[in-house]
Amino acid sequence: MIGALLGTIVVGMALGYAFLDVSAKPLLDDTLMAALDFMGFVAGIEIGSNRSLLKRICTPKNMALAVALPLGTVIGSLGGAYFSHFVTGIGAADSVLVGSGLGWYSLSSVIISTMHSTELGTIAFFANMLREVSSFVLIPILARWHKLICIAPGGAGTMDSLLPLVIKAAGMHTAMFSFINGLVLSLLVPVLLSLLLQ
Amino acid sequence: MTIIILAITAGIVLGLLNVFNYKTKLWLNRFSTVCLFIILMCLGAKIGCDKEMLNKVPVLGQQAFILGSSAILGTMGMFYVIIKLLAPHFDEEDEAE
Repeated sequence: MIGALLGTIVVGMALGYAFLDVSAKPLLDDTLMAALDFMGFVAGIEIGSNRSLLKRICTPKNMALAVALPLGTVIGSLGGAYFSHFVTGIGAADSVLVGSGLGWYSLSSVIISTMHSTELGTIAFFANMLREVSSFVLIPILARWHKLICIAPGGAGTMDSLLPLVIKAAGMHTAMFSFINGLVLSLLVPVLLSLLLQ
Repeated sequence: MTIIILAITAGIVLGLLNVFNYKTKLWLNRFSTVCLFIILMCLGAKIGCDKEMLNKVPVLGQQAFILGSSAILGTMGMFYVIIKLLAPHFDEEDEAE
């Protein structure tokens, strides 16, 4: 899957290079946003359809964890992104903006490239895609150390694309936290991007 | 941005109301995957059609690697603290269940 995703970008780059010029960007932006709106709608249906899973986690201790983990992801991601600006040379605010994608590379790259710049949108795409790609390797490794910590690299993807891997590596109990973590983060990404783009 | 939030909200409401049957959801998911590839293709085309931008990809990739790795490490650090505070015996309890 990851290979297909990367391959599609390379094909897109080749087609763009061969057949398009900069004037095609607004049309590409409109197409991107329409496709993204549809994906958001389908993601919403998946979230709404999984309420039984959410009911199983309603104990005070689990609730505290379910709140703390996404909060930790936001603070850790934004903090890590902030400190990276000392090495990368990207502005602190721009680094935090990229970090606020929380692994949702399709949404963050489109929003940032449309509302900020294509350059930062490209960085957002690669940085957030790295989270997902590396998670496929890191989740099984980290689960051997501690089950809950294996959710950390995934970010927003822990709700959908990475959930089967979490179930396999760490079991259903951890997977419930993985789902809630991804769910809360998926709802937070558009809000964080909106706030940071203002 | 408003439209995507409205789209997600509408999806959640329709999901909660269980409006779509399994077959429809399956087709919606398949089309959603097609949309993902359309998005990636357009993102690639956006980079490819901008020759100036294309020359910057090696540098941008390096910056993205550092930024993404830092975000992962930051999150892992926060998770470590949270687990120590709220669930130090999570794995043992999980094994017992």
